[in-house]
Amino acid sequence: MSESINPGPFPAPIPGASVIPQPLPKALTQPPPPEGFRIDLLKTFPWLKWLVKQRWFQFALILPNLFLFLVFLAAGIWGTPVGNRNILIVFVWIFWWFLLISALVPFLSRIWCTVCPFPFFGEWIQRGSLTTPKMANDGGKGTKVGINRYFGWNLRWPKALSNIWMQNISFLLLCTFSAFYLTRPIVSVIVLGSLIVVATVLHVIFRQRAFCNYVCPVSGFLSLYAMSSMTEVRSKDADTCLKCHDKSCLVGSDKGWGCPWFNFPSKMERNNYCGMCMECVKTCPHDNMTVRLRPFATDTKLKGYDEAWKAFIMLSLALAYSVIYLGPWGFFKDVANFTESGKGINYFIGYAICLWSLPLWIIPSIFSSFLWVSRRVAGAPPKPYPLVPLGLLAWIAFSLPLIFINGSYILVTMSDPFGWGWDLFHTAHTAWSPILPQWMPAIQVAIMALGLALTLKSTFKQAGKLYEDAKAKVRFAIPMAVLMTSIVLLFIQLYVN
Amino acid sequence: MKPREVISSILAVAAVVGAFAVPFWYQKQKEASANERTITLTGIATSGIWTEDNVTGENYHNGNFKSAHIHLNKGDAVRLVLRSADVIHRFYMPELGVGPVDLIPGHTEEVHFKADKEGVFYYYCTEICGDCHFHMRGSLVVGNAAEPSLADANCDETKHIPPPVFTDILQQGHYWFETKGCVSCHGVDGQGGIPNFNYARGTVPALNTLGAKISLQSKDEVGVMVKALQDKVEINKNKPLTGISNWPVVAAEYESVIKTIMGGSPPLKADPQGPTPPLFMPAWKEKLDKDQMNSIIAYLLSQQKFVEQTGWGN
Repeated sequence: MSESINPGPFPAPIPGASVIPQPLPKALTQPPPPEGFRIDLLKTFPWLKWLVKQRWFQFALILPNLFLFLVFLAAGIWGTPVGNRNILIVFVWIFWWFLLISALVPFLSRIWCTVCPFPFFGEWIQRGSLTTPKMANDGGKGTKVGINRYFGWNLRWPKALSNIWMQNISFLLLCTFSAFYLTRPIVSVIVLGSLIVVATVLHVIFRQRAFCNYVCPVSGFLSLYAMSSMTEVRSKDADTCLKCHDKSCLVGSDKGWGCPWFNFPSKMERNNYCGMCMECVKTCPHDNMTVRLRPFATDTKLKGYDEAWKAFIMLSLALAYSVIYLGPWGFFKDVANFTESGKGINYFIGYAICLWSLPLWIIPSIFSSFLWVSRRVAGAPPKPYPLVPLGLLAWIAFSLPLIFINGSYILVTMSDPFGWGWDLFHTAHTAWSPILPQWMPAIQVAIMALGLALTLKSTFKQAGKLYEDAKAKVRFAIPMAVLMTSIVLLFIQLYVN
Repeated sequence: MKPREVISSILAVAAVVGAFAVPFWYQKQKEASANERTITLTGIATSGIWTEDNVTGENYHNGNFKSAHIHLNKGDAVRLVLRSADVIHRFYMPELGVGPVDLIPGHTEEVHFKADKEGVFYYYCTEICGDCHFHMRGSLVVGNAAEPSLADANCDETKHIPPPVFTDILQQGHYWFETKGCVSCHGVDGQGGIPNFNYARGTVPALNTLGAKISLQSKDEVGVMVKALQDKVEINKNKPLTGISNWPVVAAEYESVIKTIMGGSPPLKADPQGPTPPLFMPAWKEKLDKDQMNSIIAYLLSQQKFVEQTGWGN
């Protein structure tokens, strides 16, 4: 067995470690499997192609989003201090979160990054322009990167930090203090405002979207779960890209900027770090970049420990949040929100230690032990990718009650965003009424069952790539199947009881 | 610069400025269109006050809000905007027929009234809203009436501070009398005099005459009783305390006072058909233990003033 059968973050299987004689894995020199079902959306919808090719496309999406986001921040500062009546809390942490995790990511990949207001000011400073790319040879000031011209220092991001560990840590930090900003508008303002400031500063110092790629806590999990998304930006024809000498998608052109996400779009094979800005669609001189529809959970490669740990972190936090925020144990809520509940800081420190231990140590250890078993009985360890669709579905299951139970607050706050007594859409006096609360556990169970099915499918797919013998496939898949089923049963137990 | 870039830049700046300016502009327009005088009152349970200050996400957690002092001219048409900053309150201004209005946190209610008579009008929170609930009282002055001095111990200052180490029972009783909110209805040192609309006696009873009410005859007898309470002596009519002349009555009255504190008592209406008086004696059995109750009783007994009788009977 060679290293190439285990491109994931875990060590390659030890030759001869198997206790049972194993059939040899398939030769990996076989040609790559056909891509399968794809629909070229830009070909199917010419108006969409026209739209994404306009220079003002991204700006036109960001602008209203930026306006609303700043109104929300203003509401956080000058609006009511009551969380569930302040549009900042309700729209960001209930509506946006649900929309993001349940609709945008599964169906439209990282479309949020296209419209995200965090890097707006930084990118504006960095490019010195909102809609027009600047060329290095036009004699203006700035630094040449590719054939575009940028302002700011344009330093390269340190290689040691060119991974998503910072995003893992920043997301864990955010989650640790979530009870503070989920209930206090002003704390949300501080958190979100800080992200804008940090993004702006990093855009001035470093090249392109270093903040988005390596620091942003939201971007980290978007990168992971975009793998499961049903939309992708890809080249239409690999040969055209091979023959292309311009590489405009990478270095930019007068039609657009070089990929701000440090991707080489023509060679992109995963969604992880594509912010769907559509610059490559605009710059490609051969009209070879497009947006495609594809089956759910198509990307299956996790590269590096940082990405694997992201999967652990997300799954663990979905579990922890289900216990803390959906569970009947007030003790956990009190500890997480210790300044308001009066619980001592010692409790909070204990809570933080547990919250960090779960994804960084406990879940990976459990996963590793199952991996060890797999290696012993099948000769090759599975990759952690199956955790990705399961984690996404677990987050959807967790987020559903947020919107179904608290959805009426959206109607109230859209009419009275500051709690000042407005009634813009005549919904300010909507009474709180949960939607289908009696059905919620059943829906959550169905979602988790779907997650399990996808996970098992992915595990058996891995087995199929490695072995031809049916028994070997089963031997390979069973330990992971047991683990995944146990995790799903744990979630179901939480939701049903 | 290309026209597209110029337009984009203008739009971006407009979005930033507009996001912060438009809400305030809209609010200003809304207030300007009202023909009435607008008064905004926000109830804050943690401070135990009604305030005219603007309570926002920014200042709520460290804001030092002031109690409202509202003065109106006779005949003013008033748009009263009512809010709660934290928990459910119920605003009630019975003499002007305003309320009761339930205030859901973060929600805004509007009531309209005309200040057509001069005087001082009290408003209350009539929904128990926390440890500082009994401080949530205010007054509105119409015309030239003098503003009353309300008995307001600062609830904010005391509620989060752990109780001190008490050197004697009187100090302890004084502390609990103020921090638990007794002072807000029964007045400073239990002097009473707080108006209670449609209450049979007009004002909340004074408690600085508790000594006489439980039939203690002199300062010395009060001293004996206070010492007994401090020493945690069981008050039992079958175990008379030396130095108290009318012991069975005193013991029975003491039991009655304890019972009232523990179980509360509904206020007697002046007009049986009228509204329930907003202030009432709540049940304290879950909020005060027996030692705390005894300390408050001892403190109130110590406020009793006796007229010294001479040998001539005058």
